[in-house]
Amino acid sequence: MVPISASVFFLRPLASLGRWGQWGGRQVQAVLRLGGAVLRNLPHAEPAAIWQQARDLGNRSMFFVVVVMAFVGAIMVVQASMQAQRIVGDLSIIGPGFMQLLVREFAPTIVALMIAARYGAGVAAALGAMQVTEQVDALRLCSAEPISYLVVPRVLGGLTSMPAIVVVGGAVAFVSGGLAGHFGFGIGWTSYFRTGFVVPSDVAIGFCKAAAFGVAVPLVSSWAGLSARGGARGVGQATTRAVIGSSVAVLFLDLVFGAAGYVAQRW
Amino acid sequence: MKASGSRRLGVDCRVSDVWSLLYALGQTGLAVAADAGGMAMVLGRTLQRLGPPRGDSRELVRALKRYGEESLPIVALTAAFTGMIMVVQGATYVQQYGVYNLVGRYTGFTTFREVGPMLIGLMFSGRVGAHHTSELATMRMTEELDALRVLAIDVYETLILPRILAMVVGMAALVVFGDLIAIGAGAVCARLMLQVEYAQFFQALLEHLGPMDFLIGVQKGLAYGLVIGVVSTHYGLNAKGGSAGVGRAVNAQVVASAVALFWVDYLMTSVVR
Repeated sequence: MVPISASVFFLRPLASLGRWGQWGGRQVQAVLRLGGAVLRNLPHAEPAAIWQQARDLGNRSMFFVVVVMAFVGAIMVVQASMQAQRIVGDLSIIGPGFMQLLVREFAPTIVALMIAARYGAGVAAALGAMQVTEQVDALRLCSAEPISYLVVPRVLGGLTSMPAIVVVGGAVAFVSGGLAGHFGFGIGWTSYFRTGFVVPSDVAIGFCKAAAFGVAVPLVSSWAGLSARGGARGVGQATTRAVIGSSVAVLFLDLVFGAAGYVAQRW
Repeated sequence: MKASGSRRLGVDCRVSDVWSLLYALGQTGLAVAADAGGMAMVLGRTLQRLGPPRGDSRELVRALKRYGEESLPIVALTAAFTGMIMVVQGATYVQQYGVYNLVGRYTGFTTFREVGPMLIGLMFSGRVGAHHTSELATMRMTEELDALRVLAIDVYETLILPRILAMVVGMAALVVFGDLIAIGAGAVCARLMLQVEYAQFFQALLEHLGPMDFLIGVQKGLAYGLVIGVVSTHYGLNAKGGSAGVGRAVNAQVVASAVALFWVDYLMTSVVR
C-alpha cells in the first residue's frame, strides 16, 4: 500500500493532471473534428452569409478594438521607454522596434484575444441558444446541414475580416504609442514614425497569425456553442468555454507560429 | 432616418449618414456613462459593507475554492504559453545581437510586470467573471434576487462582497503561481531553442530584477481582481430580457472587463508608476 503522504502529495495531483490532460485531449479532438466537417462543407458556403459574419466580427468590433489597442500602444511605449531610458538612454529605436513587434506579435495576438472575448462569446451564445432550443436539430430535419449553414460562414468570415481588423488595431496602437512617447518622453515624431525595421518576413508572420486566429476563434466558439447542453445554464457555460477555449487556441497558435517563424528565419 | 430623401454630401456620404453617426456616438457615450455609474455604485455598496466587515464567511471560502483553486489549470496553461511566447519573440533579437545573458532578464521583466498579470486577468474574466455574471443574471431573471430582498437578506453581504473579495485574493494568488509557471516554461523554452543554460537564465533573472518587479505584478493582480469583480457584478445585476439576456450580459461583461483591465493597466503603468 502507498503511504498516505505520498498519495496526497504526489499521486493525487498526478491523477488530476492526467484527468485534465485527457479532458483537454477530448476537447481538442472535438474541435478538430468540427474543423474537418467545415472543410468538407466548404463548397456550400453562401457569400452573403460570409459577408454578414465578416461584418459581425470586424466592423462591429471596431470601437472595442480601437479603444483597447489605444491603451495597449500607450502602455507598451511607456514601459519600453522607461527601460530604454534606464539602460541605453537612446529612445530613437522605440518607434521602429515597436512597429516590428506589433506586426510580428502584439497586433495579431491581442486583437484576436479581444475578438475571442467579443465575437466568440456572441457566437457561442447564439449557437448555444439554437442548440438547447433544438433549432439545430430542426435544421437537420429540414435536411439543411447545420455545419455548412452555421459554422462555415463564421469560419470564412473570420478568415476574411480578422487580418483587416488586425491591421486597424496595429495602426491605432502605433499611433497612440507615438502620442504617449512624444508627450511623455519627448520622442520626436520623425524618429518614432519609421517602419525601417519591418522586413517582409515579419509581415508574413503577422499575416499568417492573423489568418490562423481568424479561423481558430470562430471554429472554437462554434464548437462551444454547438456542444451546449441543458437550458440557459448550458448557454452560459458555452460562452465561458468559447472565450477560454479560443483564447488558449490563440496563445497556442501564437507560440507555434512564433517558433516556426524563428526556425524559418534561421535557415 | 430615411436614406431615400436625404441629400448627398460627397462621393458616398449622405446627410443622414452623418446624423446617424452622431446619433450612434451619443448613444455609445450615454451607454458608457450609465455603465460606469453602475460600476461605481457596485463598488461603493461593496466598500460600504467592509466597515465593519459584514459578509458570509462560508461563501467566501466556497468562492475562494471555486474561483481561485479551480482556475488553476487554465491559469497554469496560459502562464506556460506566456513564458514560452516571450522567449520565442525575443529569440530573433537575442541571436542577432548575441545577448544570451539577457534572456532571463527580459522574460522575467515582461512576464512579471505586464504580460503575465494581463493574460491571467483576461482568462480570469473569461472564466470567473463570466460565471459570476451569468449566475447573478439568472438569479435576476428567475426573481431570486427579489425574493432575497423580500426576506430582508442583503445580496451584497451574502453573495457579492464575499465573491469580490475572493476574486481579489484569488487573482493575486493566481498571478504568483502563474509567474512561477511562466518563468519555468520560459527557462525550458530558452534551453531548447537558444541553448541558454538554466543557471544562466535564472542568474540573469535574479541579477537584474528586484522584488519590486514581482510585487508590481501582484499589485496589478489585486487591482484586476477588484475590477473584474465590480464589472461582472454590475452586468449580472443589470441583465434584462429573459434567458437571452443572460448571454448578452455575459458577453457585455467580457468586453467591458477587457477594456477596464487595459485602462487600469494604463493608469498603473504611466500615471501612478
